[in-house]
Amino acid sequence: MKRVLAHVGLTAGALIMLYPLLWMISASLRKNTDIFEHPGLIPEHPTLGNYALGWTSTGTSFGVYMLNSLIICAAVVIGNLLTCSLTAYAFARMTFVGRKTLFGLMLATLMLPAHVTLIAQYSIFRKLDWIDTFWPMIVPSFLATDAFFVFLMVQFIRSIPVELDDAARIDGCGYWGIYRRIILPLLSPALVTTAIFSFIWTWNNFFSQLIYLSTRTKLTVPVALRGFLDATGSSEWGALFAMSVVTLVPVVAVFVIFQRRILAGMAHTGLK
Amino acid sequence: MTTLSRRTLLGLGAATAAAITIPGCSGKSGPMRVSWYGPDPVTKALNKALDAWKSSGGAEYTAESAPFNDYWDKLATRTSGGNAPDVLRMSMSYFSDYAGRSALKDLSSSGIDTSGLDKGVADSGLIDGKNYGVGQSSISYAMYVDEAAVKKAGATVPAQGWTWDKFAEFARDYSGAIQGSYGSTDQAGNFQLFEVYARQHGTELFSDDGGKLATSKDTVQEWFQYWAELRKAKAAPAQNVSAETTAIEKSLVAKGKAPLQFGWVQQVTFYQPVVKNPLSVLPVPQGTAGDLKGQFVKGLDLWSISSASKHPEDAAKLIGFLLNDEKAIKAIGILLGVPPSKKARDLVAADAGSAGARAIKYVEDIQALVGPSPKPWPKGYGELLTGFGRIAENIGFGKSDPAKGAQEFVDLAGKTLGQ
Amino acid sequence: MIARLRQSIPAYLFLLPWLIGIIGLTIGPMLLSLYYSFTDYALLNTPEWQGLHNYTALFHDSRYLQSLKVTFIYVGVSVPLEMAFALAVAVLLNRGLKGLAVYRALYYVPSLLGGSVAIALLWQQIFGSDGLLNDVLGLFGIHGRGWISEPGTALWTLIVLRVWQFGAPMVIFLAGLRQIPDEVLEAAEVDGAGRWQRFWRVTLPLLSPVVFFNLVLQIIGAFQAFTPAFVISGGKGGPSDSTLFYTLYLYQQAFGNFKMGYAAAMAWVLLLIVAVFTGLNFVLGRAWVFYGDEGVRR
Repeated sequence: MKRVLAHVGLTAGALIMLYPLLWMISASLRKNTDIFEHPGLIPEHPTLGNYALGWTSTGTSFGVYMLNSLIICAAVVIGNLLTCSLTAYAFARMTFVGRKTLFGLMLATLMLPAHVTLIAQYSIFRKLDWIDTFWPMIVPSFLATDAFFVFLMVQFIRSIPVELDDAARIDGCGYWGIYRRIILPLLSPALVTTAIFSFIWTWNNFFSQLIYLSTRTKLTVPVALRGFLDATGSSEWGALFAMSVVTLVPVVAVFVIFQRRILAGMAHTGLK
Repeated sequence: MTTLSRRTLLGLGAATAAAITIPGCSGKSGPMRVSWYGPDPVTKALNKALDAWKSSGGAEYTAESAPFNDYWDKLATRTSGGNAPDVLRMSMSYFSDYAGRSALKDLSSSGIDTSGLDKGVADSGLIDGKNYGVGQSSISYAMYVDEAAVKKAGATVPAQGWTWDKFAEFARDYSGAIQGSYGSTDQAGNFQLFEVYARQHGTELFSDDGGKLATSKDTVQEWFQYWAELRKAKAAPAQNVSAETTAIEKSLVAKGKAPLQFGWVQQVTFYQPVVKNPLSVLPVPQGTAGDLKGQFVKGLDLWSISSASKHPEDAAKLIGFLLNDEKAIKAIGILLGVPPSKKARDLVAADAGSAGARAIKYVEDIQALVGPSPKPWPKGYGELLTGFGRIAENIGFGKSDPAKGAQEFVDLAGKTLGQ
Repeated sequence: MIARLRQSIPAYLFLLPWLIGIIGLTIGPMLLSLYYSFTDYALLNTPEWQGLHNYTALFHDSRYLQSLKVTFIYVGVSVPLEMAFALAVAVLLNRGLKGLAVYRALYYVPSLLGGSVAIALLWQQIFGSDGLLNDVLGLFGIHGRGWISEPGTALWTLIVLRVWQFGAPMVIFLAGLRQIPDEVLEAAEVDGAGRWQRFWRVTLPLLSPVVFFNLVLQIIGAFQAFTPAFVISGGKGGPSDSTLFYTLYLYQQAFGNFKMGYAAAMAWVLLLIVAVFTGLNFVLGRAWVFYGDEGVRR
């Protein structure tokens, strides 16, 4: 009985969470003007026309934008996993001169709005001749510039009992060995979390992709989506919603696949 | 998706190649870059015009585009980072900000043929005798009226539009005749319509050097008062109703809750698809019936060349091509606005019954009746444009009143202009 | 000292990528923005030094003060609510029922939508005067209003949006819960601790580093919230500046009005404000955060 109640409650909650997605799908099946006229969920004259239109209407296949986004997101995930865990390990477990200062500095990079550093960063990437390439989105992730993930991993590493490190040290492990054999396996919930967020946030990150990418065939999903709207003219609402639905597929897939790994967590590491 | 064909796959291949371009190998001064704002139809039309440029032996180029708002963030960053595109679409709203800070090139001796352009358009980009941009279109402010709806309410539409007094009277009567409707949309925050109103009061909106406001505080106050009274009489919608009209599809004219809408003439082509009856294009209300001297015809979107361009000759040639070549003119059609020359308007020959044709006819009809066109909008125009709207909104929500609002706007102009 | 430096070498090797990043990409632009904050910089010209002028001007700018007010309300209301939701749902969805994986995915959907342009229209459709919320209220005989188009309520719709997108902290909580070894909880159960006791005495203390992380980062994130107001108000922060978030105003000044110097001053004031809150969090955290590297209280 308790279980049934729990399911009823969770399902009711899920409906509230899901309503916008259903609405988006419904809107994607309507003609442009119907989206504004009939606010209900069931379209009167459903059509798949918006999908065909949205996929091709920019003159470049929407698949190109999806692929570009996938390349960037995949690279960012790898970069963040590699370098943020190294950085976090040093901050959480090692003693060195200037640790507190550097840690504070790292947190401070989270606190300055990106709009005011944008132009200087643009100049740096321009000197490197990286404008209109994917590098300005990818390279920073290989240099652990996203302090969110570094700090996330620091917190997770710090909750791992330090006795485990000591045991490994007695077995002859150095810092690298402890990082590889103890920390990384035990950190897997945080690593998976990092992978999910890196992917989704990069997938949705609009501003830097707008600024750095120009050539049509190099544009990414969020930039292309905004192209359906224009404040000065007519907007392709139907195509916008259709492509918004399509672009949700990869992120939902990433979430569903990876979240299982979070939950594998401790139980499967063999290090109980 | 039926389109997942060989071409799509080739496209995917190109994207992959683009992704792995080796840094440092793309060369510092590549081909000329052309950049513009606008929705997808604009992008497609310009790409077609550029194809014509290529096939007529024009220089190499790369093209890029963005929606209006995004375009400015990107252009500011790139200009500031020393990487501005060569040929760029410039809006009068930001023109002086760029021209006044030496970001644009003087086109006076560039050899671009502007001889066929309407007069107010050819010198739209003149600042202190230097020409920083060539108009792309002939633009004037207009009122689009759903005449069938007006007739249904038992009123008639004057051929030259209303006077402001008659307009207020009409709006009240209309709202009374058709329940749940408004005779007018609320234009209190419309700075561009206010410019016409200011000129009808005998002065330009800004002083000639762009250093200060030329219109008086009283005129501003009178304007805010006019709309406050219409709102009070329910002849114009309350502020919270207007605040919901965030897209053309949600506008009152599209929902059949108002018989008319104001805007730049070419925007009627965006409203027409969402309104059942044909929209007539009329002059905006006047002080004295039939006196259209407050209005003007001007180029408000311009082609400019950035001052850092490494391809100034090709860039100038391309601009000349877009303005004068028959194929380019036909490709562009009326997507950038009403074409800026008689020749182009004849070539475009929009469908006689279409909103585009009515827009073209409107510009031709009022050319001889309007007043001289004002100087380019000054530096800081963008801030005043949004500020005016915000102040009007505050009045609409009862957080301010016309007198206070007018003072606030005059203060804002004092701080913003002449810097 | 030299010995200490030598001992630091391995750590610096681990930090090498981060050091390259922060020196090469981050510090320079940050310091440059600090310099801009003392100048008149219109983006397209060279910056001109004008001392503290931008900073003093801030406090005579009524829109700036409005943006501070809006942002403080937003942070103060949305962060606690979002944290509470995320933790409660994470605990519910942690284990014990079939099909939890499906629920977890469903509850994360709103967060996937992020600041997508689709959200803007959706929010108007829910909170507009003829929107879904008013339809529901109508069933109870309550006459609603245009929630999103009135200055009195618009900010609250954005707070709802943030609370509704609680997926990110929820996933982090879930990951934290998974890091708690089962045998600790089992041991507590053997000792006769009930459900609530286990949660308060065992789970929460062991989860505290993660709670701390979420708290610190949600506060930082909420102070910098930009996208929701940008997308939903069309970049204006309206109606009547009621959703004029701090960073939205900063963006308007920098890119709309060409006042990068002023925007940079705003950015550094924000950095100070956020740093004070974060510092406070760290000091207070000493009392309630328990780390595995200092012995866990059981």
